[in-house]
Amino acid sequence: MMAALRCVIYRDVLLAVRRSSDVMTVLLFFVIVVSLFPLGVGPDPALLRTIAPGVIWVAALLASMLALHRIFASDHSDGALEQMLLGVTPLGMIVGAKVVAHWLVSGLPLVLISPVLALQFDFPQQFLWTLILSLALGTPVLSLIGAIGAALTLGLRGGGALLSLLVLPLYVPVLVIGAGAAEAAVSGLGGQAQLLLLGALLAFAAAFAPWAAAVALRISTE
Amino acid sequence: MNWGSLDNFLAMGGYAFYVWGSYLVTLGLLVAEIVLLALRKRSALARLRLQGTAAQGDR
Amino acid sequence: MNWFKYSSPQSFFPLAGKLALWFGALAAIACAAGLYIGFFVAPTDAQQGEAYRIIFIHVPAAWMSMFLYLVMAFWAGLGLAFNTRLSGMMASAIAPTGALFTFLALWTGSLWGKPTWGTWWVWDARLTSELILLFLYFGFMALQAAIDDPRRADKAGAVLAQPRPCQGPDHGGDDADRNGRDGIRLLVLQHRSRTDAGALHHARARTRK
Repeated sequence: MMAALRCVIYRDVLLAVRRSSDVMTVLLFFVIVVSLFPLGVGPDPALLRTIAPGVIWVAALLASMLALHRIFASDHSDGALEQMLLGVTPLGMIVGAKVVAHWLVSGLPLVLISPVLALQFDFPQQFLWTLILSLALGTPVLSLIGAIGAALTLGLRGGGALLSLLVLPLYVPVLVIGAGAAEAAVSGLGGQAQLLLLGALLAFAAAFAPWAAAVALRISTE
Repeated sequence: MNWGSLDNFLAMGGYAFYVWGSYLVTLGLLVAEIVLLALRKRSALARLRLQGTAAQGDR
Repeated sequence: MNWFKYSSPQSFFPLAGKLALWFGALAAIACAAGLYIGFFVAPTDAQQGEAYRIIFIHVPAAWMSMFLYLVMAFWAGLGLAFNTRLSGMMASAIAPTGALFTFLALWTGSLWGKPTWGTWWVWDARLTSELILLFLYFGFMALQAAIDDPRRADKAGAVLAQPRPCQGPDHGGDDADRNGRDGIRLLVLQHRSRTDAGALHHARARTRK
């Protein structure tokens, strides 16, 4: 079974890398949105320092949402998804593998480039690690929850906007805790509580979201 | 609770806008929901009646 | 009495029509009693004056918004588990009412907050979570509206509505016994290249038997 899962991850990552415009679009969207905020609220450094974690988190959230529909859509359109539904490997594990691949392609680049963007906002350097860690823990949760939404809206017209509407309310706790981690660190309270909560959310989502998405996939494709 | 006069009751101690704004919107929305449901039921029954007569015509 | 005969929409519809009249009458009486007590029995508040009377709408609306979400999730989950059409219809019927009460809770709360706290809105946990609840209701209704097939709409809504993601068991193991390794073999093939639609149709037809 592990061979099948590794196969799924490798395949998805390979396909995404071949169409690298998908990866780059998400990354560029992230960068551009983060850059829009100083233009909108003015260049006051104190203000920017305060809003930095929130802005980066919201932008990461929106950027990772852009790529969500692609988790299942291309497989659904060429029939590969049905083969996965009929196969030996439990669908929940296949979904989990696809989410891992999705995160590697859409979430990890955001985490890696976030320190650069944070420095743009003059975010204090000693707390950068908290921000990076919060994103590293949070973006997989976003991918996991997003996979459920993607599975529910598979093949529907209204597509991306409907997916956003479904998934954003579920994202809110992750956003609040994730952005709160960096803000707490800056205000001196330390971000450990939020980071631990994020870890718990990740464990919870990793345990349940793949199965929920599998149920949703069966509903969407029957 | 004795309001003394209708004017006192309507004025709600100066908070008329807030209190009546809440109560009237609530009443309005509840009534609107009931009315909308009644309209939907009527149009659904009409549509079914139409389908029924259309099916009869096919036979 | 066999209650289960009412689990089909056809037999439930006439019953619902009769019950709705009685429930409506009961609700009207309760409303009248509540309004009377709220306006003519309850005395003026020492601190908030008459503005506090909004509580008689705000608290029930907030309670209803949360309670209806649980009821909706319950019926939707029941429909998902037992494949009953009526449960799904119940959940779909509750959603707009739940959204209505959530909106009313936010509206009346806002109108109550202005004279007492001095602000229309504040981003604390309770208000924000009520707002998110409104978005959850809208998401549920939007999802059901976007799906044409009522069966799929019920089930999709059920998965979405569970307060925590639905932990339904995955049935992949049962189906797999029928066509065993074929699924994985095809999966591996696609890893090398895209299979053409013809082969897939053939494979699908084979596995459907």
